[in-house]
Amino acid sequence: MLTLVIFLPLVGTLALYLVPLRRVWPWIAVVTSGLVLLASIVLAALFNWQSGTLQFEQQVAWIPSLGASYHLGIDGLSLPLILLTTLLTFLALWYAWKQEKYPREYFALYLVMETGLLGFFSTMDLLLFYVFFEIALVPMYFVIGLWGHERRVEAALKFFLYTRVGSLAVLLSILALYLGTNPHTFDLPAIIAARPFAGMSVTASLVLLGFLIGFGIKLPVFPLHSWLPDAHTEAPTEGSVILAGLLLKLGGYGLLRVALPTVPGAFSYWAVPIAALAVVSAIYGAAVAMAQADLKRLIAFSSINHMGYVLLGVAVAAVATASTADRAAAASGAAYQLLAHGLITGALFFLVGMLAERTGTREIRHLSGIWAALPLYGSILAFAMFASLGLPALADFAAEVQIMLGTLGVYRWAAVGMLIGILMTTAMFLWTLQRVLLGKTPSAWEKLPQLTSREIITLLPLVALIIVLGVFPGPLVHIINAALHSGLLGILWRGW
Amino acid sequence: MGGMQGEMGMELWAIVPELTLAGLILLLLPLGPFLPERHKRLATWLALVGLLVVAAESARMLTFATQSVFLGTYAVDPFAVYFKLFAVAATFFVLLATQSHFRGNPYEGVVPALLLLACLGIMGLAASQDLALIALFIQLVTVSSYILVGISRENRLATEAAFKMFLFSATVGAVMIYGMVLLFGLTGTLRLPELASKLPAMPVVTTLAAFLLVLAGFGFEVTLVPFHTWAPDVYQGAPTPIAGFLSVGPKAAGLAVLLRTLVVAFPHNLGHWAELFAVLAAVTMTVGNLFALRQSSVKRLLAYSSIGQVGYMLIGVAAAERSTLAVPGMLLYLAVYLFMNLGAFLAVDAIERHVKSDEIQQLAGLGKRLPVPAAILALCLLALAGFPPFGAFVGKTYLFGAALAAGWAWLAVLMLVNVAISLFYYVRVLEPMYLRSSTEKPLPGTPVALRVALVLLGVGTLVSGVFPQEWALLATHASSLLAALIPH
Repeated sequence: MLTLVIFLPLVGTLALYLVPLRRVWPWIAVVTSGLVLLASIVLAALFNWQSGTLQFEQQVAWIPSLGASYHLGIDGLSLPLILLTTLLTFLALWYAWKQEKYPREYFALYLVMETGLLGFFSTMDLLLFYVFFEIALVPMYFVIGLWGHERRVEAALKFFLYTRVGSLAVLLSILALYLGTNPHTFDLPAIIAARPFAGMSVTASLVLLGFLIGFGIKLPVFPLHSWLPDAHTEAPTEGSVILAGLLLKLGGYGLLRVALPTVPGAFSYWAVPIAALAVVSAIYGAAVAMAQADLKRLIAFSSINHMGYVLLGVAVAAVATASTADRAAAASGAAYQLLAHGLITGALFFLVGMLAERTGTREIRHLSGIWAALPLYGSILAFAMFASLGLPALADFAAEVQIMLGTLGVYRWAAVGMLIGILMTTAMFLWTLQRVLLGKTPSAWEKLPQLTSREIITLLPLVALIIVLGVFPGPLVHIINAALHSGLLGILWRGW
Repeated sequence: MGGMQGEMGMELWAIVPELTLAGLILLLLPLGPFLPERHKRLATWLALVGLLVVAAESARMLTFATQSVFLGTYAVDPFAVYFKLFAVAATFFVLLATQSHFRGNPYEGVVPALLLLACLGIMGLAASQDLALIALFIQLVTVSSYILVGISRENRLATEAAFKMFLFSATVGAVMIYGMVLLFGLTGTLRLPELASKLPAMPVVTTLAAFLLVLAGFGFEVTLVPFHTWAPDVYQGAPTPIAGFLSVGPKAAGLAVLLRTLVVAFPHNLGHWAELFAVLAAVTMTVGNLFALRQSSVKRLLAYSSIGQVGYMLIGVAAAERSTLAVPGMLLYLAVYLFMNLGAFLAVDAIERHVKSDEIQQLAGLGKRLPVPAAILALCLLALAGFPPFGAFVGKTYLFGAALAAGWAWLAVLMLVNVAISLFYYVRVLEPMYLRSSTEKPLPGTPVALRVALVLLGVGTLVSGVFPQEWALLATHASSLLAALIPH
């Protein structure tokens, strides 16, 4: 079942290249991603929400002589991200329906990326994990470089090199874990059970460093973030949605799934500097976002801010001496933040793309009075921005509250830092709202076309989910917590 | 085991593949030039069919018991068979490209025979256990190679390349033979297993000096830094399929003979060659990758890239006695390297035939104008850069693990840095092909044989990464028996 979900997009890619009719390509792309979405919903329906632990497990020999197997399985941590992946990919392809430039390749790359992402979120074997990690990243280079805006080639190269360095650092750490486990294996549960580097040691710290560099570049966290604004600014709209909504999640998920359970001792030891880095990253992201003149860049920097909270949550969850309740709250907040940010930022990038398509500019100073010109669009943009700044009863709030509560009990200073970050984000978004939506509508913007039904359909599921996740966080928090607490994969170190 | 079995010294059954190949060469050498113009390609088809037979005969030998034949000078072991199959495969793919590349060239008819001759040399090197035989086969490979390099006499660069290669190989060959003579003077034998038993008692400095002299010759074939300087010029000047062959065949032969010599004649890290090769691997990969960064000719870039790739494989040599991942990893990597590096060179060949240049800027928009060769080139470059799910990634994982397991974390990290650097120049080739557009029209198609070769190489690159297990088992089998010949 899991295998079907993961490789269904590749079947679509194949179909794209077998059918020579240009008219049919968008259909193939949308139908494939729609089927994947349906399959993942079926998966979620079959998922045991009571237990939330590892399910749909499947293990087939892959490279036995290297101790690597095709080992899949999903739990409460991965299921929501799988759903997010299938949803956002479907929406992106649906939105990209009218792609004129090399449509076949464009659709094919997104489908390949979807396979990589789904595989990444559902594998329990570290070598396979790395394979899917790279498969998810490489297509984005071409998406940015081929379909991006003016400075796309440089941005694509920067993205490619940064992420490559990151993934190699992860590979090095994975290999250290592999060699540290006897008998050598890439199986994540086996490595966690063997606890080769569970305590605090130099090697464990180096392994942690590799993970932090690799996943930190993906998150991204200050000072490894400089690829992100360029990549986002230059990427096409759908590319930005996938990049922010999904590819950034690889970093957070990697930290929670792999780094925390395998090197808990070192993580706990270094938790203070990591938390400090997270706070700096959050405040820096918000501050730099405020100074941006380009709306898309502004949202890109706000991602750095939000991902800072994720890292903070992870760092707090790592502190072995803290109370389990605090750690669990922080970890589940971090996981929840991944989802919330995926939905909200996905929506924001769609919205910016729609606006830029109409006005031909993303410069904030050229935009004003949009709400009067495009009432529905303005409302949705305002809604998404409010969601992003953490308005209660919306998804982001549910995440930030958990991280905040967890942090408060462990590092009060970090909680204060986070609060400053949230205040700055709030100020930043309110100020942006005021500049873009309110004010006098220039005559040029008065005749802008209203949202099309295609665009409304794209945004609707995101808006709905942002509300649902904000109002009813219960079931998701439950399965995330179940995944955090139970079994070998339970990431909360029990202080052995 | 080892030493002398078979008093007769005439175990012809052990060299059936070599004999078949030699027979084929003896047939093709005189036949080739006299074939009428329209039927020149017959030579290629004959050679291809012959190679299939040789491959079948070699593969049958995988099951033979490991032993030494011809008075202990020639090995029958899966390690040798692995390299024989490798040589046959490389020659096979190159023949598919030369078939159309040399059409109309006055020496078209002899190219297959010369390629087979080089193939024979590589096969011999893979199994030789005697320094004199090794020297002989190295000459066979080198001589046939530089004739092939210079065969397009109207091309000034090619002539220059052939001359350069000749001078370099002659010098290095002399140095190597001097080293072999020294070893003979020390021990009174040229056979590797016997050297192993006598060398430990010899003065260390002399042994080491002799060994380093011999290394010059092996290093030439492997393009080990600092013996690599001929490679970029020769690869750039040579006809592209031949450059591809040189970047794969002789390199593999060099690695085979290097590994066999070290493991058999210098067992238990005699002379600290493990540390030496760890350093050489580090230097080779770093030099190759750094120099590749600034190249504007794709062939030169691939030449330096192949030096970098050899650097990774040398980790397998260095860690051979320290990690069980090392030799299988190197063998696995070599096999994938055959697919991806030859794929890249043959794709460049296909492109060059239309564009008439191998400058990077000339590749603009080829993703649309020549979709198949461009796609194969892109795939091979991504594979060379170590991206999964292509085979090189599994090989890199092995070698990476071998370096870590051997206790050389610095080497693993350096390899990582190198892999990261390498992406930078591979992207420089990818970028114009796909990210820069060109207004020019699509180009006519590629010859069928070449297209078949390209697709097969591309598929090989992918399949070896998705289903590496069978390959890994074969590589492990081939490497475990290498050790069986070591006297304990």
